[in-house]
Amino acid sequence: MALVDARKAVMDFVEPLRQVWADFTGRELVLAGVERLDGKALSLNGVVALVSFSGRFRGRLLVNLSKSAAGRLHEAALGEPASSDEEVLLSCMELANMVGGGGLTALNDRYRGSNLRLAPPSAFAAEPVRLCNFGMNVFNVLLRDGEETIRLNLAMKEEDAS
Amino acid sequence: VIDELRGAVVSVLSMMGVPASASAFAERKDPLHRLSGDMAVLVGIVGTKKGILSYEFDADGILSVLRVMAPGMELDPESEVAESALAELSNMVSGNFLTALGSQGLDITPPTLVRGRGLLGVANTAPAVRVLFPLPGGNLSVSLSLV
Repeated sequence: MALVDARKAVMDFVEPLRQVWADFTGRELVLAGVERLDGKALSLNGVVALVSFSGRFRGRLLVNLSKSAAGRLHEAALGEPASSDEEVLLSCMELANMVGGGGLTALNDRYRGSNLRLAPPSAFAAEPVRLCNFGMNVFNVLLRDGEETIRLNLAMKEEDAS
Repeated sequence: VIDELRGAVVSVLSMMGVPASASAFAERKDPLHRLSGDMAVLVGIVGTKKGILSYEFDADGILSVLRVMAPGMELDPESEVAESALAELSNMVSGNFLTALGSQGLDITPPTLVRGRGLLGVANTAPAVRVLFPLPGGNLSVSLSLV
């Protein structure tokens, strides 16, 4: 029996995020720390992009960034400023989808036969956005681009993946 | 598909003791799966089709459901117990919906509850069908988008 280690799994999403961020913005994200979060609720300011997944084990990934960083991401990706907040959300959904896809590929390689599949991405903005998941372990990775902090957050049920 | 979704919602709500009238649905199509309230539970669909189910309770709808699910208790709608109950209800409806579809190769993802004052939300870039279920004293809006 092998349990999925959520603390290890969250790191599988870091490199895809750094790669996509570099491709979109030409800038480097620097790893600033990993923390386990207690409690079921998260309160996050700015924009939150989310993708959930299912297969032999289930969970969800979110990427949280400030509104200004999300706006810059949109502009870098599309070459022009967003004309609405909704356009910014759509760019962040694409970011989450690419990061989620990259991370799940790594997890599917490590846990052969897991058949992990992504649901479509979603994104939200509010001050703050509160998110709750139940019965899952939650790990947060902090990354920095200059003064900006980007959060990568994985909630997962650590089930048998043997 | 929407008939199966209606059936799953009514079946689970009835099982929990929440009266939901099968004859009072309102249905709308949206070009993009947007969230329209301050709170929603999202459940993903993966497999041979991908999609999102969103469950949006208005404030009175939340109270209405909680009163039935926890009789005699005055739960704060923003408490962890209340949020857990709403997430579980949404999870059960989603599971029943996939079972009713009889589709092999489809699975659901864990429910995520999202909340925020003046929340701006896009649940999916695909078009959505939104079905409004009147509850005693409130409403539940369930949207489905598939790609």
